[in-house]
Amino acid sequence: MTSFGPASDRFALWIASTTGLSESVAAWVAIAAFVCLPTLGLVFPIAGVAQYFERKIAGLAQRRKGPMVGAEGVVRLVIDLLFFWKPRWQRQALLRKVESLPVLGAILRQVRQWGLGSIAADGVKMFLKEDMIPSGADRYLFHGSTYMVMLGGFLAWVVFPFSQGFHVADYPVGALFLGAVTGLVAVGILKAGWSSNNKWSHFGGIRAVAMIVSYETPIALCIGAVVMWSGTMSLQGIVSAQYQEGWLSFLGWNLFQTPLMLLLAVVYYIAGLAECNRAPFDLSEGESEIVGGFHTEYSGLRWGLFFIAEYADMMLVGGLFAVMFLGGYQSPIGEQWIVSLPQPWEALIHSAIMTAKFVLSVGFMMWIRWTLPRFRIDQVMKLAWTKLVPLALFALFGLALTQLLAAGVHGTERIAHGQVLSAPVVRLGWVGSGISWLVLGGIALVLVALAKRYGEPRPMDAQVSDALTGSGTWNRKAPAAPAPEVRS
Amino acid sequence: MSFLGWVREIVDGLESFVVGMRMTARYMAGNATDTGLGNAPTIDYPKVKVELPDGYRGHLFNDVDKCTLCRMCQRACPIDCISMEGEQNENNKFHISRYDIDLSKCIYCGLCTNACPTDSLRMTKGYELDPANTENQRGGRYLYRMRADQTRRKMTTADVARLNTLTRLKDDQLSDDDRAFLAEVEDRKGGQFLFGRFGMGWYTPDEKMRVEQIRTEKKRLKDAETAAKAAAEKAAAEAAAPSGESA
Repeated sequence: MTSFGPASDRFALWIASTTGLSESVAAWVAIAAFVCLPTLGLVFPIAGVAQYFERKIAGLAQRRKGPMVGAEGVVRLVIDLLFFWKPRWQRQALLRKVESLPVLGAILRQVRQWGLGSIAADGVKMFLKEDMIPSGADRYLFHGSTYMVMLGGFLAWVVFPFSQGFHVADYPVGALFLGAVTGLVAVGILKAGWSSNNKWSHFGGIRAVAMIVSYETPIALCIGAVVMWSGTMSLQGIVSAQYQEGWLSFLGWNLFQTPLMLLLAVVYYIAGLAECNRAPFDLSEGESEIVGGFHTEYSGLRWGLFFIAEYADMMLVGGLFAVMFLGGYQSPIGEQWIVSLPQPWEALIHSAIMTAKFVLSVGFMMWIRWTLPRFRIDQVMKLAWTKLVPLALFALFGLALTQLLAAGVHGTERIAHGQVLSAPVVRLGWVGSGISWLVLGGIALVLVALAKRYGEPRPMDAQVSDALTGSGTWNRKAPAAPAPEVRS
Repeated sequence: MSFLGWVREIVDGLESFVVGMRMTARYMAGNATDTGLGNAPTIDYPKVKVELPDGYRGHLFNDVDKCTLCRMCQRACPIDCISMEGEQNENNKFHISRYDIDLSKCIYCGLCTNACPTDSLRMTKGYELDPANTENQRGGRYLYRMRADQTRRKMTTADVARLNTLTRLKDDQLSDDDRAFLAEVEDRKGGQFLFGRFGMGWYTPDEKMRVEQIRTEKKRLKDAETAAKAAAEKAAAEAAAPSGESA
């Protein structure tokens, strides 16, 4: 009927039966709900509002108040336009009367207290700015890169599971699709930097791409490990594999299975931060070095699209983190009760849980941004290639080993969400998890103690320490040539 | 670098990360609850005013009833920003008809208030300088706080009496009729009232007029010059044309 899977079909039938609409109309409504709701209806507004929260969190962390913009200005403007012929004191008296109205006045006071007016102010500002294209810029690439970055940020939400069967498309190779689509962001950023005809933009684009390409490696290893663990590439399958009956359903989540998963989660989160160019990995932009980086030359709504794409990316990283390690849309306390609810209610509750998970993740990213200073490019690269990749590899092989050991002990066939999983899934169970946590956790603790006792961190590179302290040979002037002898 | 050194680097990194995150978390929690560490010192200014200490040297205020026109303040002023005019009333007593303080010059040193023998001139805690802001009692009301007979504009005795009573009232004590009257007075006085009067002296109208005069004079001179030049060229062309024809 809707060709978007059984869930949207069921939803369409439910609409048709409850509202009395014809089946074709109901199908369209269901398609609109299933295709547009997750991406446009959920991600876009959250990305827009995220700016407000970013500022508020920045203010909180820096002993400021953050945005304090109220909406009285709008009311004043409306009153001034409507009663322009009246003297000013009368208009002011009217404004005071409006502000003391029971409902509207209370709303205005709340808006003022929370500074919510800045959301509207930012949006209006973005729309009213001039859309400038620098002379010498490659027009088509300059325009196209915006859409490409947007596409990379939003296309990934196609495979994203918001509830059991509530997704735009559940590809059997969803994880692979994610990796491919998020690569568009790197291409778009490089194009944006190159087409701007600006050295800052170019350097910003190159830096961003160098970083994204480096951090794709640990991310790919993380996703690969989780795919191996779950036995499927479909994101719905990965979520279903973490299904656990009973009130303590969070124990079924990958994160609590074994410490290796915890390690993998940390690696994935750090790499994900770098993937969406967030602080402390925001090398692609830097006011003191390369101004705005790849979006130096963009203004108005085009810049806003980059901005929203960044937040969509952040949410995607958080969402993928939730899918891979935090059981996706599943509730931490009792999942089977939600599954037994009617379809729309289940979808609603699951979506709310999912949204809460990735919004919390975005909040944590903001907290990190306003805590850590940014890295130098060499630190960024070293972190990726000498820390994250080995750790991810270690976790991957450890998980493979655990899987081999556990497959002999534990049964491999499982039922999740009332249906038999297509792929055999390894679950460690209470005993296996406990053993894993005890053994590996003990090893980790011993290793940390040993390292603190005997380990010596590598000294800073001579060149870098010279550059920081201003000593060394690299920046000294060349010794002056000996003066030619004067012969009489 | 040994393996343990590698582990040590990771452990150190995570530890310092936790330290930093704990620090900002404490700031955020303190700021959100307005307690302890991280309490934002920001004041919601137009709504909440700063509590100024006693003896704060804000705008000057002259009580014209007490002022005897002795000009001590004018002499004490190190930068000559005070100017005044006085007249004698029917009882042969001096009283002020104009008392200007050029706020673009005033450095708020307070020497004039020390010199004042009758304590009529004193410094207030006012610091807001927006004549258009009538919501603001200290700034906007200032305009009306001086006596109407200080202005050059002639007003009836009843008007003056009414204005003087209204200046002592608070904003919310005024009726609509009073407001209309005040607005009318403000309109009638126009620039003369706002500029060059007590408290509001960034640019006097005289200066504006002088600038305007200089501009028009320059323009006139330039026009005259170009006109003369054009005339000279025309004359030269006319002088050359007959010779060209003849040649």
